[in-house]
Amino acid sequence: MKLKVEFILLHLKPYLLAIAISFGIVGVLMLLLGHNPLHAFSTLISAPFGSERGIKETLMKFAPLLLTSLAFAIPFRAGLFNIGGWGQMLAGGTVAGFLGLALKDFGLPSPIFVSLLILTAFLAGALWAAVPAILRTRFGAKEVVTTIMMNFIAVYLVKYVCIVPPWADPIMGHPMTFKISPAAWLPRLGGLHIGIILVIVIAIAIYFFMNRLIVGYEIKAVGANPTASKVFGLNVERVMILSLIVGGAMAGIGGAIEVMGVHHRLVDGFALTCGAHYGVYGILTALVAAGHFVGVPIAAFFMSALLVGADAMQRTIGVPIELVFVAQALIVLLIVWTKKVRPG
Amino acid sequence: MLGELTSFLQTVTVIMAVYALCTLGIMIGGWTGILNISADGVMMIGASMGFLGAYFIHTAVGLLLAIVAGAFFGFFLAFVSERWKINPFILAIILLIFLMGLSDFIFKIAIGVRLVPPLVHPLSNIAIPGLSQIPVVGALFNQNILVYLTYVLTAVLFFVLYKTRIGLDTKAIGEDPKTADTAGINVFYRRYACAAIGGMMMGLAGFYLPLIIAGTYTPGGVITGGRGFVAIGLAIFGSFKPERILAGAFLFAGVEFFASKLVLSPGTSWPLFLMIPFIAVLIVLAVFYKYMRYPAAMGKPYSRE
Repeated sequence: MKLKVEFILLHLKPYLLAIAISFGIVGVLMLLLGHNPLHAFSTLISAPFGSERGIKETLMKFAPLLLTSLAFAIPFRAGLFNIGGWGQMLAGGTVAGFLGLALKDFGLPSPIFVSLLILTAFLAGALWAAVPAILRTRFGAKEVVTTIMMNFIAVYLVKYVCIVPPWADPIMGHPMTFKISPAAWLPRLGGLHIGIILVIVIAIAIYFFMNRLIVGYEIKAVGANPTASKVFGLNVERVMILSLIVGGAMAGIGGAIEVMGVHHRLVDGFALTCGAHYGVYGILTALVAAGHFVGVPIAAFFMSALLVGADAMQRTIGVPIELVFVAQALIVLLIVWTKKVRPG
Repeated sequence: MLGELTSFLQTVTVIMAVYALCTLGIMIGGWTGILNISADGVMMIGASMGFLGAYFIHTAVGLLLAIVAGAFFGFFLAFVSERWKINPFILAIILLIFLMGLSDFIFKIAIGVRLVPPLVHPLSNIAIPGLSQIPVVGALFNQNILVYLTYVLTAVLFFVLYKTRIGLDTKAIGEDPKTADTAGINVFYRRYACAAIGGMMMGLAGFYLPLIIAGTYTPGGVITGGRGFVAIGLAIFGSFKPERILAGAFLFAGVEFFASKLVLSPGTSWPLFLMIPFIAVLIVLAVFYKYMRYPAAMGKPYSRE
């Protein structure tokens, strides 16, 4: 028992050290800018955990963040860098928002409507990741580059749907569509949409997918050593495509949850939160957990708490939100540095 | 007709310099096997610091700040990934995110929230006597000083790559660092130097955006508009050769020019046109892949063992 505690502490050491150093730097910066760092840090902790509203807000951010983290983490285990979580999330959200409007008059019952939209968002995210996957396996184009291009294409796709006549709401100053059919809204339980339950189920399913199924083992084998995998008869290309598609599908569901559960319509920039988009935070989160599928949900929870805290800090004290954003990148950098995180 | 063509070439050349400077920066690092995915972030910090320097003190100070910041982060990427053998792609992604935050943070601290964007005076054009009088092509020689610098840098890099020992040695590192090391080239120092010089040029490309094109800095990634990512595609498209990169920069500047013209035309489908540069990169990567050369040791930290 004592050994086990020591073992856990040993594992936690780089994380605690990274957090301490990063917040030390941030604290000094705050002092230089004339803020009280202790006051700021207490806001950072009390805002996400101190009230019921704060906990709800944290969980609302946790759902899409966990999905974009998985979007990076799954292909990462196959040795691939999916920077396209942002675009895949936008693609999923666009399809959900679009169909939520287009199928308004069919009178679908809510459970069927909701599952249909989530399924199509799943497919849209998968499709958005399939393009870079095929470019990689057929033409050798680096997925690091192509997934980024797909992000920008998705950004403009969302803008397009949000300003074009049949769907766009012209009264609103910001580009957005009309509200989707209420039957397509995610049902709420105690002020929280059920997307959060869905996300937890998905995280458990992905854990089993990666650790108990042959496919998951194949993904990890390809990431660990593609040459050896090929020699032993694995279809490396197929495994790479599969890992990217599953990752993209996760982010696609994330987009649908934001549109159907939070905004109830497609809004330009719906994937943005606290100065950056969920795709970026997902990458940071997945890197902290080094693509470990028990660690990803835990890291995603703390990251979303940090985001809620940062938001409160900007509103009440006036510290620019980018400071926390920089601190997060710093934490991840230090963890990657000390733990020598590598793909696969 | 001639007048239209001249003004088209005039504008395209102005945009071309951003793509060319950033892509040449990626190219120099690429020769030694360092692919700087964070180019967009380095451009952003160059834009932010360059703008603030130019706004508060002097254009020259802004230029210097942008170059120094670019050199530092270019060097940082190469040094940390080589020294501690960290996967350069992971490091570059974190650096990219870090720089996106830092650029906006610095800007917000210095400027605060304003309704009217703070503006800087754009650099004025200098017409080269004689050359600028040629019909149409003369537009290439009636530009701001940074465009001329782009021409000069392309020519110098062309000369270095094909005519000097330094160029040959540097390219050898990207192909096979072990052999280069055996032949007595210091792989590490060469990589650090090339990454720093490349970073300088990305910083310069960032400085160019507020000073020449936008007139101000816009937070939220609007200032670069993803040009740093297009530049990565352009570097691969140009097979890390300066003359091809210059040609590619003109091509993508033309694409951006037409997309921006279509945005201004009536109708509401303008976002679709802004997708064009990014779709173009995807098509170029897929179609021309057979004809591209890619340094063999790209993205692998070198270890002497």
